[in-house]
Amino acid sequence: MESSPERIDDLYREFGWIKDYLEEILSLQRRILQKLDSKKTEDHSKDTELDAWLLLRLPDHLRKTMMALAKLVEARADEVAKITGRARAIESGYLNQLVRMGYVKKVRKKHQIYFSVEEGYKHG
Amino acid sequence: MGKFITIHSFKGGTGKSYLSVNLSTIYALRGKKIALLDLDFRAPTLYEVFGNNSSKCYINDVLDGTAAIEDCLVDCSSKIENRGKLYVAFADFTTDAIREMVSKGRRWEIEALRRLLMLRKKLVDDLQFDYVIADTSPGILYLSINAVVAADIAVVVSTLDDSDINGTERMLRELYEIFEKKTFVVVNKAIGLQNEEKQKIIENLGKKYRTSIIGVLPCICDVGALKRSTILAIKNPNHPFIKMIEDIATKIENA
Repeated sequence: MESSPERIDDLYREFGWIKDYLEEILSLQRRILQKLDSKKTEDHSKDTELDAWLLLRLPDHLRKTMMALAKLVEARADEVAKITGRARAIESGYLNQLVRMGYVKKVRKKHQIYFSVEEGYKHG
Repeated sequence: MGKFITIHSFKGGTGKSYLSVNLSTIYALRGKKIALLDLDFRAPTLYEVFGNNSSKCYINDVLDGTAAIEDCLVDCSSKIENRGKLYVAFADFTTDAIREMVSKGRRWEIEALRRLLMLRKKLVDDLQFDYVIADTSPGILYLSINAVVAADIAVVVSTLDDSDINGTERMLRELYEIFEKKTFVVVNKAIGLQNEEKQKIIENLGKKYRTSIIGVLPCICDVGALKRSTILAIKNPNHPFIKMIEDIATKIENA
């Protein structure tokens, strides 16, 4: 049978290894969580930033409004309605829906409401 | 009011760039103020036609948000003997730039779409171009589809190859019809057709594509043999090929 001090040394060594392994596991877990978090942000951006493919998946009535606004870049509801041929009030509703979805920005200029597809994000 | 016209195709090698250059030239010779944009970032070709030794920046920079379109447009009217106003915005043709463009992520594409829409407004409304003609990459990549979204009129160039016809049909149905774009098809490189055959093709393809076929361009050897830097509409304006493109230009104008 090993003497007690040597056995204790062995045990300390093994605990040391176990501690190292646990730290490695914790570090891996943190990296996984970070990746999951960044994926969530990316997925979130997928849902609220409009690209050509998302445009295809919009309901027809909203896509029509979006395409009209895309042509004008920034416009009032009545200006969009002139292109779509629909009533101003209807276009206003659709434009506000697109604002709530995050695809369009709403700005007030001199007591009038304008809807815009202009960029909100700038490259560094 | 000016118009933004995209020249697109399902497959490569259909003759988009050739059509873009000659169409732009014909419109410029008709007294229109024309901007020709090279949006084929995967295989830029316009620099071969016009030479590019005076461009301060590229259209890549405009879509990156680091340059204004006014700085990138090069007056190439001298290439058409100053008989019209033709400006060209070139794509960066270096290997690094091409590699960079094809590996852009979704985030960049979202911003590129916005910048393209603003670019359209700038060129048509502020700079008063009569036509902006965008030569795009083939297929259904972001870069091409963004240009389709921005377009007032889309011209899709197809050959008579079966895979091209089927692919074009799908693209028209699944993209263009949904975007409700005013779309015309030009059939190019049509080999050895007589008048009756041509008419039949126009009818059949028109039904298949559910859109107007505004031209069937034959495959002509002396046209294919020309150097890229030669603009046929200037070198030989009475060539039958150019007469057909003039007819296409008129149909687009009247749309």
